[in-house]
Amino acid sequence: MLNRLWVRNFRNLSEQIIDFKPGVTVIVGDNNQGKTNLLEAVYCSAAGRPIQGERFSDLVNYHADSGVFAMEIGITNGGRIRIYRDFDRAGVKRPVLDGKGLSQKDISGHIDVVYWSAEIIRSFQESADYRRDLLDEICKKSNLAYEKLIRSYARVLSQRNAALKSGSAVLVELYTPTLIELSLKITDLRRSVLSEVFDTVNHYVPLLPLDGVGELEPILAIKRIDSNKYIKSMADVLMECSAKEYALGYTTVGAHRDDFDVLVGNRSVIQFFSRGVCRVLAVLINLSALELWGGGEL
Amino acid sequence: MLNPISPLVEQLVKLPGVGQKSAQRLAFFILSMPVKDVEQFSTVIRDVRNRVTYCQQCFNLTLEPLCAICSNPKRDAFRLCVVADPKDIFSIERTLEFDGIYHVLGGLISPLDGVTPESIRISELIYRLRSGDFKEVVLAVNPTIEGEATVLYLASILKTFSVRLTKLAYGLPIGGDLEYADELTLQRAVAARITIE
Repeated sequence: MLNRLWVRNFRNLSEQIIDFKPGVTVIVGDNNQGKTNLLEAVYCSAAGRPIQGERFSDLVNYHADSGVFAMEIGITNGGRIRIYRDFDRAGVKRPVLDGKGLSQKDISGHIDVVYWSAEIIRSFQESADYRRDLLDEICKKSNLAYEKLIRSYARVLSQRNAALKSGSAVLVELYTPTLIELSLKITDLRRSVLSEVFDTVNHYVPLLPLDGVGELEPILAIKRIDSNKYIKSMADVLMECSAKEYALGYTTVGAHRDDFDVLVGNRSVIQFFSRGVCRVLAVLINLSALELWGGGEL
Repeated sequence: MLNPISPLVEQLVKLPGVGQKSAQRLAFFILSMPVKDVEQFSTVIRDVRNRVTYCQQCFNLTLEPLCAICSNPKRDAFRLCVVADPKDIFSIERTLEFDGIYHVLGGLISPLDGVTPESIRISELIYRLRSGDFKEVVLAVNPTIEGEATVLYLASILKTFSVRLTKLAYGLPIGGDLEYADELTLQRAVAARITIE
């Protein structure tokens, strides 16, 4: 657990040292005093990266060029470790423990941090990008190979898009089989992870006073591809879209266009239920993933 | 005032993997070397750069028209190993497992970097296959996205030749641990498992 946090020049926090007690910590303060910034600082110092959509160039205090995160974490054997890292507008430096460089993996084993704010509802409101990001975050937790899979997919996609822009059918065809193979792997993994998450979500739904929400069923919407015959179907759709893809210069189907929806009966939660229900659902999905792969209990 | 070592630092940062700080450290080291050693160092750089050319047959690095491998009569001239770069020949030669000859493509197909089948030495490979009597062609390129695409392209081109076409196996590192193997590698290793004789 987090024992102590020291943060300097992070947004409006010029310098803060906070000692945390065991149990839940509630931070209370007037508007514009830096409550959210403090939460973000905890996330950044543990995860080594800004929260989604933010950049380090915006996180350094206006009057400074660089800052510091440091944290003391209590570890399971009763000991504690201290992690220190500098950051500037370009990014965050490697974490250091007692003067020795650490990798992010060394830290992740000791502290698991998830950042939620009112924006969590974005995953059920705005573009599919937010839902894909949410899926990616969860899949990364559940499967160590997922990140590598996503990186390989992004590389094939870039190569195929470059080939489409060059107009060479021979080159496009070279990258199509790998695109389909990786797309299938990613989609399969996403589907099984979603189904596991919703088994847990459904376990908690009856405990909450949510009007009209019964059994929830996640649906992974695979754009224009028949999921039962994925390889054949994706190859057919790519063939069908060929002229359009050459004109646009990018690939229009594949795992990068996956999306998901949640159904109650036959009704989409996103379309038919209130913002409140969507927000509760977003929290439940995140909590369930944490319970399944983050080592905690709800 | 101009820093007296900055011209040297400017040259050293051009080397791969050398940043400003490393370049400065190397520059100070060069200054501490005896003049004789520095002269020998610079002469060797110039000489190697001027004298090393590509082998006329396989495009490996060589000082003669033909490289040491192509001109060695003991090599099996019926087996050809296709690699992306001359440095890959050094890696394969260290294994002492392959006694055939090589063909260096000079890159891998990558539309992102503007590398097409026409810009690497595929036509030279086809010419060699037509004019030689090869029994086997081994495709020994990196198992990357670009490597796979190049293998796919070569496989489609070379299927018209009556040669045994092989590629390097994917698998587990010797002394590795199944528990720590990355899943993609493990998946390939399971798919390409071999029968125990």
